[in-house]
Amino acid sequence: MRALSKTLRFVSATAPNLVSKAAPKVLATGFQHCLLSQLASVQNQLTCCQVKINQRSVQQRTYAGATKLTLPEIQERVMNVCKAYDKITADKLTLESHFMNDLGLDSLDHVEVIMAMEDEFGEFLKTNLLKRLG
Amino acid sequence: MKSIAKNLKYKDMGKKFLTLKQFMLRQDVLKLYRDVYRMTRSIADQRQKNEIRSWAASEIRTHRNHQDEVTIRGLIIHGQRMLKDLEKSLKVTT
Repeated sequence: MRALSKTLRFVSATAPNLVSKAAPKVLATGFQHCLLSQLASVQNQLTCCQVKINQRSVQQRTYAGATKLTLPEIQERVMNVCKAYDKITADKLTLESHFMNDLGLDSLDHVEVIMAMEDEFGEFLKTNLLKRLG
Repeated sequence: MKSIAKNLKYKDMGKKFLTLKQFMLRQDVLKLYRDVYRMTRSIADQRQKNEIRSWAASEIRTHRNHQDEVTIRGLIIHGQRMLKDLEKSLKVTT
């Protein structure tokens, strides 16, 4: 899932990265590491901030809410995205299946699957990562 | 062009490698496809969205067997031009 973690980094850094073609596998572990590390840093920043406006001091508290994603949940969502993809036959699909060697996809299909993952997890990334940026 | 790896024959163990130029060309093609994908995200009509995407994919696939780098570069530029037109027409409609 180096490819996925790179896509994630794209979303947070807003700079398009080249998707790795070396070993596109349906594994959620690398994805999980990336997500969890970023989640942890967001949760560490749960703070309340005070804002002074003009003469009066108005205290505002903002909490960054982070929804939790567990590894089995991520795996399930990844598998669902792959199953929903019409070019993949669901019976051949496992966590270990290789997009190109086992499932017979070409690199354009690979791009499509990665984009579908981005759509799937985009909301989660938007609410949690982009808050951290500002 | 994406099958360039298939058409190249190298002596070591039948593995196919791309030169840097070929690799960059391939990445440009994939980037083009990804840009089409992102641009069509904002289209509400599902049928139209999928039509544009599959049209782009089929165009790329018909030219997959080219070997000459100049031809491939020309096709990529043609695709980028079409992408710009798509962007303009999307801006008008939304």
